Amino acid sequence: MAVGAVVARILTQYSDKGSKAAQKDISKLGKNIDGFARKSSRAFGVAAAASAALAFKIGKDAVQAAIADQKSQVLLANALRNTAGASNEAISGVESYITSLQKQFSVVDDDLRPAMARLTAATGSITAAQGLMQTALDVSASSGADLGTAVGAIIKATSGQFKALKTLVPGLSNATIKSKDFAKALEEVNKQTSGAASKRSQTLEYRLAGLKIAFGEILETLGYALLPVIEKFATTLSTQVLPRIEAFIALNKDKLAASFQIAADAAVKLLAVSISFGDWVSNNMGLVKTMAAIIVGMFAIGRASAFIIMLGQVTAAMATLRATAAGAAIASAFATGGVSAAAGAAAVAGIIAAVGIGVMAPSSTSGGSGGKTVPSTGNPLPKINSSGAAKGIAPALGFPNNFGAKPPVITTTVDSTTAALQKFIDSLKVTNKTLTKTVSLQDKINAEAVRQNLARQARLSGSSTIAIGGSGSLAYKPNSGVNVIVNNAGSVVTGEDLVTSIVNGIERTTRRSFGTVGAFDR
Amino acid sequence: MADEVIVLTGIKETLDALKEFDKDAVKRFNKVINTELKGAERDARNLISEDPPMSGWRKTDPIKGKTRGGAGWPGWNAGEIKSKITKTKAQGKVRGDYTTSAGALLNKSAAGAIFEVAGKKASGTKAMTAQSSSGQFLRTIGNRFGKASRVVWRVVDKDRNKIEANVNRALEQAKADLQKHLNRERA
Repeated sequence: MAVGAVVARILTQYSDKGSKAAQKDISKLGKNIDGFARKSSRAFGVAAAASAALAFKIGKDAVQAAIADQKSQVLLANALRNTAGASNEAISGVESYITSLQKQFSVVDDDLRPAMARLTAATGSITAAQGLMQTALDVSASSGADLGTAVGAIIKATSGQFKALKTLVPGLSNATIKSKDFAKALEEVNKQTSGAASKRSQTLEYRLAGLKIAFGEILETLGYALLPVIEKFATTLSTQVLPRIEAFIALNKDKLAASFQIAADAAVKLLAVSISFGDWVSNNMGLVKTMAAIIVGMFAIGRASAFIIMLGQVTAAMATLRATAAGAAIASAFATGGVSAAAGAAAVAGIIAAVGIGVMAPSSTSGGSGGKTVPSTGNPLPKINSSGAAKGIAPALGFPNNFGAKPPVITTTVDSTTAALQKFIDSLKVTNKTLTKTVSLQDKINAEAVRQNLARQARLSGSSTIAIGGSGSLAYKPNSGVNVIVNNAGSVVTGEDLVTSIVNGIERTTRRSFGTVGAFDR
Repeated sequence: MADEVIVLTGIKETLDALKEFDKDAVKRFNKVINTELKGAERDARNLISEDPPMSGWRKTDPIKGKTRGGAGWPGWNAGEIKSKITKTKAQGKVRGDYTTSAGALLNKSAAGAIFEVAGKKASGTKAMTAQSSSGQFLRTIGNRFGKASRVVWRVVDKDRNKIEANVNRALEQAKADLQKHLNRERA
C-alpha cells in the first residue's frame, strides 16, 4: 500500500494475523511460565522436602534435647533435695547458676549438672558446691581434663586425697598435700588456675562450642514446646490405641495363630513341591528333550499344515504335561506323515508311565476312521521313575496326588486330537481322489506335502510299510484312505532315537515344503 | 468519511479453502471485488476535472529555481492525478484492530491528495476564516467542491454500502460453494 497516499478503505476484513501472533506469544509465554513453574515447583519441592526433612530433624532433635535436658534437670533437682535439702527456689537458683556458667564458659549444662550434684553431695551445701564448681572449671581448663575428672579430683581432695588433684594441678605444693589442708590446697589451686576457664571460653574452639550450646538451648526450648504434643500423642496411644489392639488380639489370637500356621504349611509344601519337580526334571532330562523336539517340530510343520487350527488346540492343551504328551504324539504323527506316530505314541506312553496317569495310558485308544493303537505295556524311554517322579510332578502341575483319578481335561484333549486326526485322514482322502476344485490351495499344498512325505518314507523303508525301530509300523493305503496302525510292543526306541528321527523328518519335510533348511536347531 | 466500517470475516480462509475445490468460484469472487473496485476507481477518476480547481493552480509542477512563489506546490496534472487514483487489494500491516483492507482506493498524487483533504483539519478553525492566501484557498476549494474527502473518500462514502453488499453477497456465495464442496467431500 502506498505510503503517503490517501487511502480509502472500501472493504475491511478481519485479520487473525495479529491475534495469531498474540496467541503465539501468549502460548509461548504460557509455556515459559509453565516451564518456570515446573522448574520452580521442582526446586520448591526439593526445598520443601528438604525443609520438611530439616523441620523433622529439628523437631526430632529438639524433642530429644528437651527430654534429655528434662532428665538431667530432674536428676540434679533430686540430688540437691537429697543431699542439701534444697528448696524449689534453691533448685531454680542452681539452674540459673548453671545456665550462666554454660553461657560464660561454653560448657554444656549436661556436664555442669552432674558436677554440681556431685559437689553438693560431697559438701552438703549448694553454696560451697558453687564455689568448688568454679574451681573445678578452672582446673579442667588449665589441665585439659574434662569437668567430671576435675570435680572428682576436688571431691577426693575434700576427703584428704590430693593425688588426683596434684595430677591435674602439678603446682600444688607437697607441703600443702602433706598438711592435708583442703582450704589451703584450694587456695593454692585457685591461685594457680584462676581465670583459666574464662580464658578458654575465649578461644575459637569454645566460642564455636558456645554457639553449639546456644543452638542446643534453642532446640531445647523448641522441644519443650513440642513435649506437650508428644505427651498427648503418647497418652492417646496408650489409652486408646493399644487397648484396642490388645482387645483385637485377645479376640482373634486363635485365628491369627491358625493363619500363621497355614501360611507356614503352605510355604513348606511349596518348597517340597519345587524340590520334587526339580528332581523330576533332572531325572528325566531325556524325556524333556524329546518333548521339546516334538513341540518344536509341531510348530515347524504347523506352518505347512492345514491342521494349524488343531495345533492351536494342542498348544493350548500343552498347559499341562499330560495334555502336552497326548497332543504331541498325534500332532507329531501329522507333522511327520506318520513316521513319528509310533515315536509320539511311545513318548506318550512313556510320559504316561512316568507321570503315573493311568487314564492316559489305555490299552488302546481309537479315533477316526482308521484308529490307532497305543499299547500301554512297555516303557521305551529310559530314566523314568514311574512312581517317585509322578508323586513329585503331579502336585507341581496342579493335579492331586491321586494318580488313579481321571482329570476331565484329558478327556477333552483326547477328543480334540481325535477329531483333528479325523480331519487329517479326511484330507488324505481328498488327496487320493485327485484334488477337486473345491479344495483350497492351502489344502492342496499341505496334502501334497504329506503325500510326498509318506512316499519318501515308503521309499526309505523299501515298501509301503514304514517301520520305526524295527517294530512300529504304519500302513499307507492310497486307494482306501489311511489306516494307521502303531505297534511298538518290544520296541527298542530310545529317547535319543526319537529325537533324531523326529528332527530329521521335520527338517526334510520342511526343506521339501519350503526350500529352507534348518527349520529349527536341534 | 463513513463512521462505520463493516468488517468482513473469513475472506482469506474461504478463498484459500475454496481454491482447493473450485478455482472458478474463487475467480468469480475476485471478479466481483475487482468490478466493484474498478467502478469506484472510475467514479473517483471522474471527479477529477481536466482544469485545475482554481485558476491560479498551475498545471505543471514548479521548476526549481525558476518558479516564483508557491515553490513545491504540485501542479494540477489531471492525467497524472487520475492515473494515480488506483484500486488495491493489498493488505496493509495488521495493527491493533486486527483489521486489514480487502479493497481500497488510493489517491497517490500530491495534487490529488491536496484536493482530497484540503481543509479537513482546518474545518471550523481560524485557518478557514483567515485572510491569508491559505485561508482563501481553503474557503474557495470548500465552496466549489464541498468539504474535504472530495475524491476517493467521496466515492467510497457514496458507494461503500453498495460495494460491501455486493462483495458480501459474493463472499456468502463463495462460502456456500465451499460448504457444498466440503459436504460432497465428506460424503
